[in-house]
Formats: sequence, structure tokens, C-alpha cells
Amino acid sequence: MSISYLFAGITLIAVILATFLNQTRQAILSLWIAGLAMGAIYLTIGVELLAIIQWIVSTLVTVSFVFFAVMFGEFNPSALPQKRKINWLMFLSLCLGLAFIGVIWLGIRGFPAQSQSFSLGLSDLTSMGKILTQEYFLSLEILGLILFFVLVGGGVISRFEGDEQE
Amino acid sequence: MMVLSGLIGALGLVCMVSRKTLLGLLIGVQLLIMGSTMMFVFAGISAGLETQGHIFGLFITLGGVAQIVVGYALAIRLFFIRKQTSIDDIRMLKQ
Repeated sequence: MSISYLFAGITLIAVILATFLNQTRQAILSLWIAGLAMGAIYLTIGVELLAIIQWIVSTLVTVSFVFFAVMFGEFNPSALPQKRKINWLMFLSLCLGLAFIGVIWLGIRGFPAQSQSFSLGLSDLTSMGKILTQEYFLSLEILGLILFFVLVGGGVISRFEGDEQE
Repeated sequence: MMVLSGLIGALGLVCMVSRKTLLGLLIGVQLLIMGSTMMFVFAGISAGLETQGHIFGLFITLGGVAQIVVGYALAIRLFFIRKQTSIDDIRMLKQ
């Protein structure tokens, strides 16, 4: 249990750094650390499948962030650090986030105390695979179709067209 | 832990609002997705429906990958058209 809260602390620090750091490369590195620590939380509570998927997704997203940041010139030494927009929208989003946390805090007070503890081993890969293929098979198919269409659509949207070059 | 997931989502929202580039916007989206995934997982644990919460977290994570891919594609499109990825000057994607 305590190691879960250790990883939760690492996740929170990394997320704060990813949100407030100005340098893009440091923000991307913090996002990667946050993803890895979140996968570690999942692993400590017995969700191996989600932990592995979280690690894979975080690493691939980080690699692609680095690739696109290089392509867009944000890693250029001459590029100035971006100035942050600190306006009423930021304070509004902070207030919304705090209100969101408050609603969650009020909501979880209604749960029985013993159900908020973690239980290990009840969601092993075998039972999750069975439920995925027996009860959520249509959802799995739809998700696969969405990912396929996104792959094709992303290629179509980002294709190079000579006419757009000035 | 559910409060932590809400905090991650809230910080993702702040990141989306405050950053000026498309990649910063996508970092915020990724944080929001991570927070919502964690929320479903721990809500499932709290409600005694662990496996269902984990499966919904799996679907949210993979659906988030699709959103990130579309964001990358739009960023590339914008970079082709405008030669920059700052979101301050974007009012329409059409050239």
C-alpha cells in the first residue's frame, strides 16, 4: 500500500512539472515519468495489463512528442522559451479543477471505508481476457475499427500537398 | 487516489489552457486522459467492480491514443499550411 502512495507522489510531482515547466523537452520528460509512475501504481494494485499498456503508450507518446518537437523546431537552441498565457482562463480552469476534486472528495465519502482499500489478484490477465472477449467483444471490435480509421484518417489529413507550399 | 486522479485531470486542463503551442496542448490532453483512466480504475475498485473499471480504463487509454494521433495529424497539417504551431494566431485551419 505504501509503495502505491510513493508512486502516487512521483506521479503528482511529474504531472506538476509537465504542466508548469516552460521548456518543451523537460515537460515531455516529466510526462514520460508521470506515465511510468502511473503504470507502477497500476502494477502495485494488481492491474498488470493496464500497467503494461500504460507504459507502452506513455513511451510511444513521448517518443512521438520528441519527434514532432524536433520537426517543429521547438528543440532549436535559438528558440526562445514559450511565454505562458496567464489570464482569466487559466484561473477559471484551476477553479474548475479544484471544483472537480471537491466533487470527487464529496463523492468518495459515501463509499464504505473497507471498499476503498486495494485488493490484489482479483483482476488477473485471464479473467480480464475472458471478460473482454465474452462481455465486451463488440466494444473491442469498435475500438479496433476506430483505431484503424484514425490511422488512415491521420495519414490523409497530414499528407503533403505541393499546392500548400508558398 | 481518486483525488489524485482528479488533480491530474485538473492540471491537464490547466496545461491545455496555458500553453501556447500545439504540442503543449497535446501534453495537456495526455494528462487529462491519464487522469480519467486512473479515475475509472480506482472508481471500479471503490465500487467493488474491479475488472470492469480496469477494462474501461483500457478503452479510455486506447481511445486517447486515437485522439493524440488526430492531434498530431492536425499539427502536421497546420505546420504545412502556416509554418508554425503557435495556437495564438489560429482562427481557422483553411489557408
